Order: sequence, then C-alpha cells, then structure tokens
Amino acid sequence: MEKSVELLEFKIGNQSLAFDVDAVEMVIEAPETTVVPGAPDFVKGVINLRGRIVTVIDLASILALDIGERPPDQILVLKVDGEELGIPVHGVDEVFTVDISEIGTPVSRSERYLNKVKGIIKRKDRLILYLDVNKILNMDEKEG
Amino acid sequence: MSEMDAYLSVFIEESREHLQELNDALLNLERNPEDIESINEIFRALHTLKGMAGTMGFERLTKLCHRMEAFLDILRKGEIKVTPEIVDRIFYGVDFISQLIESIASSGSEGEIDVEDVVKTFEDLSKEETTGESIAEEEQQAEAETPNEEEPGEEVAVLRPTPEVLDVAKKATDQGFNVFYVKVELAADTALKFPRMYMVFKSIENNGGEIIQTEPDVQAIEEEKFDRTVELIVVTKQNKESLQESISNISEIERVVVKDLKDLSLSEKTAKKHEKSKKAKTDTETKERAPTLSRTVRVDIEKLDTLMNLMGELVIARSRIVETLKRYKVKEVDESLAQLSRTTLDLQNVVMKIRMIPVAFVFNRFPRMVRDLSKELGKRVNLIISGQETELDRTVVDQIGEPLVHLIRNAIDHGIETPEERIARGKPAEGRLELTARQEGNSVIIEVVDDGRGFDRNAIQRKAIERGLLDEQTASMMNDDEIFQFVFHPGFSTKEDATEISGRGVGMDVVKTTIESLNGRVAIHSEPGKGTRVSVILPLTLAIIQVLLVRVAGNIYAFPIVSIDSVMKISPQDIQEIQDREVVVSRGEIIPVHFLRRIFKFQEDGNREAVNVVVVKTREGKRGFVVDDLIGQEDIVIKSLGKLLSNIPYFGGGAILGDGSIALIVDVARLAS
Amino acid sequence: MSLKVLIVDDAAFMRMLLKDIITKAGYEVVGEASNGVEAVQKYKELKPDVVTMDITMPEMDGIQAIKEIKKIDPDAKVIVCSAMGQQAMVVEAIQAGAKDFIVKPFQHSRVVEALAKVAKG
Repeated sequence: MEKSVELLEFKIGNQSLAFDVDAVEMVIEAPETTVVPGAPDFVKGVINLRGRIVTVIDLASILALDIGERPPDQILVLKVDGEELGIPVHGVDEVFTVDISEIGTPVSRSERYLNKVKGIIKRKDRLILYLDVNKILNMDEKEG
Repeated sequence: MSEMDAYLSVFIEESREHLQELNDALLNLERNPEDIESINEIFRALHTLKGMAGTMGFERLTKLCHRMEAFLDILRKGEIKVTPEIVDRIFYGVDFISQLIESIASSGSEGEIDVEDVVKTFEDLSKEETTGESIAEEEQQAEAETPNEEEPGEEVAVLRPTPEVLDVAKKATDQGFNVFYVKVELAADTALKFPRMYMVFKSIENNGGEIIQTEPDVQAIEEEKFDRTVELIVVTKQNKESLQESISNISEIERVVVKDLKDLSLSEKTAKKHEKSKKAKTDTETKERAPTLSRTVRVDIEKLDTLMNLMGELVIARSRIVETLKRYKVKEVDESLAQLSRTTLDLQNVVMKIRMIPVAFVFNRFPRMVRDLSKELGKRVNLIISGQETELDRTVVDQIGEPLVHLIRNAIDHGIETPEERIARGKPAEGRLELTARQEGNSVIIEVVDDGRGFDRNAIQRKAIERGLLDEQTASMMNDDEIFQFVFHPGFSTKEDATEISGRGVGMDVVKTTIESLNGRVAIHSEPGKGTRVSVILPLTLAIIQVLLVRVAGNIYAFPIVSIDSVMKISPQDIQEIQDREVVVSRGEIIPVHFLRRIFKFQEDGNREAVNVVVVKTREGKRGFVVDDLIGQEDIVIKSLGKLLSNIPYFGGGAILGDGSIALIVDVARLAS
Repeated sequence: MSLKVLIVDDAAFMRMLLKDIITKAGYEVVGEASNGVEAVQKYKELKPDVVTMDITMPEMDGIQAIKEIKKIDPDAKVIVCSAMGQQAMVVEAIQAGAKDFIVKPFQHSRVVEALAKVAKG
C-alpha cells in the first residue's frame, strides 16, 4: 500500500473537501445547466462539455452542506466508472500530498457521510473531508 | 492492443464466422442428408477452425475440431450414411466448439470446458465404421497436415465451361467423341512449365484430340502465369484411361485427373463456393456473395463511435457558423457555406452508412435456434428468412437480437401447433415461420409471421381484466392490436401451462422495452386459427434523427418527427374536461392532452391566448402535449444522457444545439403513459 | 538390353556430368558429340536408342540437329537439354520432334525419369 495520497482540495460553501487528484479530469467555469425534469433530486441537470452531455450532481445536497447565497462558480469534472460527472463547487484550492497516517477516521455526523467519506484531514486551520469518488453516488444507502 | 490481442480478436471473429457456416451447412445437411456439398462444407469449416485453433494454441478446440473433422471425412467418403442421429451428434459437437470460442472470447482461455467426452463420442463414432483402419494412423496423418494446405482428396475445379464450349462439347458428343475435363498438375519443381504443358497439349493433339478450353487461358500458360495446375476441356477419340495414361507418361507430371465433362457439375459448385470463400478472405470484389460475407475492413467499434461524435460536432459547428453569419449577411461566404453544408450532409450520410450492417448478423443464428426449439417441442417448422441484407444501424442490430429471439420462441411455442393438431385442423403438418426484413422510408420493418393458432383476443382481454390492467368498458372500445399489446405487459402470459421455452410471460415485456428504447414500435396482427404477424418497426438510424424543437418554460425539448401525428395551435378554451381528463377535439377525434409545464413541474403559465399542441402517436392512441412555442424542425445527433439518467421517465437522450445549449429528447411512449 | 545413349553438348563438363548420371542409372553411353553436325554424323554411325541434345551449340544448333536426325530416322528419340529461360526454344525443339526435355542444372532423378520414359514410349 502507498504511504501517501495526492488530493485536490476544493470548497462547497465553507466546507473544505478533497478528492483523489487522479479522479478529477478537469475544472471548468460553470456553464449553463439544463434541468432534467424527472431526474433524481441529487441531479442538478446536464451541461454541454465540449459536445458531450455531462450530468451535474448536487454534492451539496447529497452531503447536506450549506452553500449560502453564492451559487457555485466552478465545476469539477470527475471520471467515475468511465463516465464524466460534474460537481459544482465554490472554487478549487490546491493539490496537496498527505501521508496516509495523517488521515483521521471520519466521525459520523450522519449516515450519509459514513459511506462517502474516506477520512478527515487536518490541514492548517481547516478540516477537510476526504471523499470517496466511487461512493458519492451510492444513493441506495441514502435515507428516505 | 498488443499484437496477440489483435490476433485473438481476429481469431474470435473468424471463428464465429466459421461456426455460423458450420451451423448453416449442418441445417442443410439435416434437410438433405445426401448432400455431399454440405458435408464438404462442414469438413472445410472444421479443418480451418482446427488450423486456426492450433496456431493460437487452443488445444482442446484443436483436438475437438480434429476429431470431428476425421469423422466428417468418413461421412464424406460415404462410409457412413448420414442419419438424424449423426446430425444431432455433430450439432452437439458444434455446440462445444461454440462454447470454447465464447469462453476464449470472454476470458482469453478455453476455461473449464471439458471436451474429453465429446471427443470420445466422435472417436467411437469413427471407430464403429472404420474397423481395420487404425485411428492412431489416421491421427498422425491428419496431424501432419498444415492448416493452410489444400484439403487432401478434394477435387476443386476452377474451370467453368463457357456456353460456347458446352455447345461444342454437345455436338462432339453427338458425333461420338469423348469430352473430358482434364486437370494436370505439374511436379513442384518443374523448371520450364510452359514447354511441359506444351508437351501435354501436343500429346493430346497427336492422339487426335482437341483442347477446347483451358484454365488459365492459353496466354497465361505461355507466360507461365499459373501455379502448378492447368485444367482443360478435351474433345478426343481417346478413352479416359488412354488419355490419362498418355498424359501421365509425360515427365514432371505429378497428377492427372480425367473426368467426363458431365460429371463436373458437382465439383463445379464446389469451385464456386471455394472461390467465394477464398475471395472473401483475400478481400476482393464480388457482388453475389451472401450478406454475411460482405467485403469488410475491421474497424474498432470505438473508432466508429468517435467518428460519429466528431461528425456530430462538425454538424453543430456548421450550424453555428450559419447562425452567426445570418446576423452579418456576408454575401461572399454564402456560396462556400452552401458548399460546406452540402459536404457536411454528404459526409454525415457516409458516416451513417458506415454504421449500417445487414440484419443477417442477427438472422443467421435463427435457423439453428428454430431447429432446436421445434425439435424440443415436437413441432415441425419451416423457417423462411428473407431480406437479411436489409441494413440497420449497428446499435440497433446489436440490440434487436434478444427481442427477436422472444418473438420467434413465442411463435413456435404458442403459435404453431403440433403436427397432429395441425392435421386435425386441415393445415399442413409442417408449420410455416417467416422472418423478414425490409426498409420502408426511414424505417426498417422486421416481421415474424407464423401460420399457427393465432392470438385469442378474448383470452388476452379476460386476463388483462383479471389482472386489473383493463376494465370491461375500455376493453370493448379497443381494437385487436391494442388488446394484443397486453402480451407485452410484464408477467403476462395466457398459456396455462407455461413452458420452459417461453417462460411465464417473462421476455415479452423485454421485447417492447427494448424496441421502444430503440425508438421503434411493435404491431400485432393476428387471426384466430390462421396465424400471427408481429411487426417490429425500427428507425433506420439511431444516431441522427429529425426532431421538432419546442420551448417549454424557457427550455428546449425535442420531439422525434417519426412519432408526431400533427401540431395544432389552439386557444386554452378549446381544452375540455371529460371524465377528469383534459382533451381536445380535432376533426371529430378526442385527443387527451397533457401540459408539459405541469408534467415537468414548471410554473404554469395561465394567461396565454393560444397554446401549441404537439399530437403524437402512441400505442394507447393519440396524445397531445401542450408546449409554449414551436421552434422548428431540425436534424440532431442523439447523445446519451449517461448512466445516471438512463432510467428517467421522460427523456431518451439529449442533443446539443447550434448555440451550444442542450435539448432533451422526449420519450413519447413513456411520457404518454 | 541396356539402352544406348548419345550425348550431345558443346561443353565437355556437361558431357561428363551427364555421362556419369546416365552410366550410374545403368544405361550405356555409346558416344559424345560437341555440335550439331557431329551429332548427326554420330547418330548415323552409332544408331543410339536415345540422344540427349543441347540446344545452344556452334556449327549447328540442337534444334537444327533434331530436324536432321529426324530426316534420317523419323523414330529417333531425342531429349533436349535446355537452360532456364529457354521456353521458346524448347517448344521449338518439341515441335521438331524432341520427346522430352531436361533442364540444367541437371537433377539426377529427372534425367533418369526422362530416359526411362523416352525408352519406353
């Protein structure tokens, strides 16, 4: 097993989050999102990404994060299971490497975190939620 | 892709082709047990498979093919008569070959499949009849063959008598001459081939004979443009033996075959086939070939999809340029823009064509399936396939197989009666099952037609009512097709004793879902006692469709033109309420209408003077959808919405419009229900 | 009775070679000639059963020699010895009445086969 991981830190609202940097394909300025009637609640809509139609998911609502007044201005494009997924964010901070030993066990605030958060990283003054790209869409475990 | 992978994929693809040939030839043999041609074909396919498998190091496959080939050789020599049991055995063996190939295709190895028993079956079969001839010896001999060597003992005539020659031959025969087909094979190391052949000619002529046709032609022989073999048609007073001997006496002649010209016909057919398959392999021209052997360049499917996507983007870029330029009215570019538009359209057509493949790719497997099924169910079925050259988008062909399997199974299981029953009803004992494909306009229609007992409207209706899918009143208003459509309802089956074959109604709903997901529809015509016709209507291509763009609450949606009946502009007062449903009456027809704003949960817009209604055809009849505005008709490239949105109720895909925005494509069938 | 062979070739080396092959095969080489004129003379003189005749020779070439010999003895059995690429001349020789041909470099078996066949026919 590797001793450290390389992560991309970003913000939704005031919450700092991170994904494995390998899972992130690109970061784009948020384009116009087309809503898809009948789609699951966590789907914000679809965007035109260079001629491809990419689904945008609402991570804030999945994780019940408060995004405040300001709409997300950027979209992280992930590649999950061969498919591109967009996640609206309030800015991308930086890529950093963290030692596995420095990743703390997630303290479950709620069920919905438990299976999506790989761990918690203390970095300077922030607490970063390290998310599991492959599990953020595990909706069947979502309550209700 | 590593080199070995590339070989493997070619190996698998070609193996499947040979497997198809095997099945086809076997079915032929079953029908005509005396047909030596089918035996030869099976033999050749096995031989080729053996060679291929050997080269790739698949030992079990090699062994099985070898054993079967040895057995076929015995059949070929006429030492054993072909019986239904023997055909069954061969089918059984072919199934193992198929399993091995599929295992190789999925895992790259022969997996756990044990062939020892089946190999032994063929060993025993061979032994029973070839007492005295040692298997081991035979094995050695067979093993010594190299895969690409011409099959031993096979007489393949390339020469085909021209009509003139046949005419001369006939006259000569009438005058008491002998007309022979002569095949002369020179020794491998013959140094001067033409002088040698010249000696053959001279010998024939010195004996009073005349050569009336050669293969290759005389000039090619003079220029020594032949390998080792020359074929001749000879008119002579010499008898067969003396002709044979006089030619054999010439030096450097390896082999001489002399046959009566009239005996050539059989091997002539062989030659045609042989040539055909050779040609298919070397990828040369031939128009008359069966659709399965169409000239092909193997292209990675992904590349094709990429090409399609690029094409789509090109189309879009073009429309953007057109839109931008509209604003500036630059005359100078008009002409080149028109040119660009034409070229793009042509290119689009070509790309679409590349994606088209004949339905034969799906149809091919049905003869075998029908045979097995009818055998299992004790029915006699004559399967007639036509239109297998009809082409469809690759995606459609890939997905249409399973629904057709269900329809055919259903026709044999529920439709066609047992021979006894048929005779009792005054029908021929053998049932007729037709599988046809044809293109009509922008659609391809595939039909499964049987002459069996037909659908029982009352039984279906009763069952639908029992299940609460229907009430008496509605039922009485529905036409037959509408009632029949209930068989596609999940879990619906009218046959009391559900058989293993058609299951308990499982499957028929798959038919409908799959076909609708392909933007197609199913229609049923059935007459009790006479038979059933199930028509599957599919769009010719999937990737680009014509749509009507509409606006609803500021968003743009696309209705596929194929499903649109008409559009109407009405005032909101024209919408009446009948039995809790909103309807409009148009030309005496009552059409239920739905407000898309309401369905899509947008804010409703109450103060409009006029609304537009898009009327679509669905299996429940016509339905109207109220939209804000009609934008216009356009060709769009369908794009997938991705896995997350693949199961949402209203949309079947999306398209990117000229301005970069996204239009969702309405799934009319699901929206209406 | 052993077959009597006349070898005609302008190259002594080729004659030696042929003589060796023919003798080893159990036939008798009754004479040798190094050109067409000599060949015709020797044919009259020796009455061989078979003649091996080189094509390209000084004085009189092989084809001419075959024609002359055929005039003397229409049943004369001549095997033409040719080099690669001499198709046309070989055909001409056959038209002139040669019974078979062998191609240089000689293959032992081919020479023997040709002799046997010609002797038989």
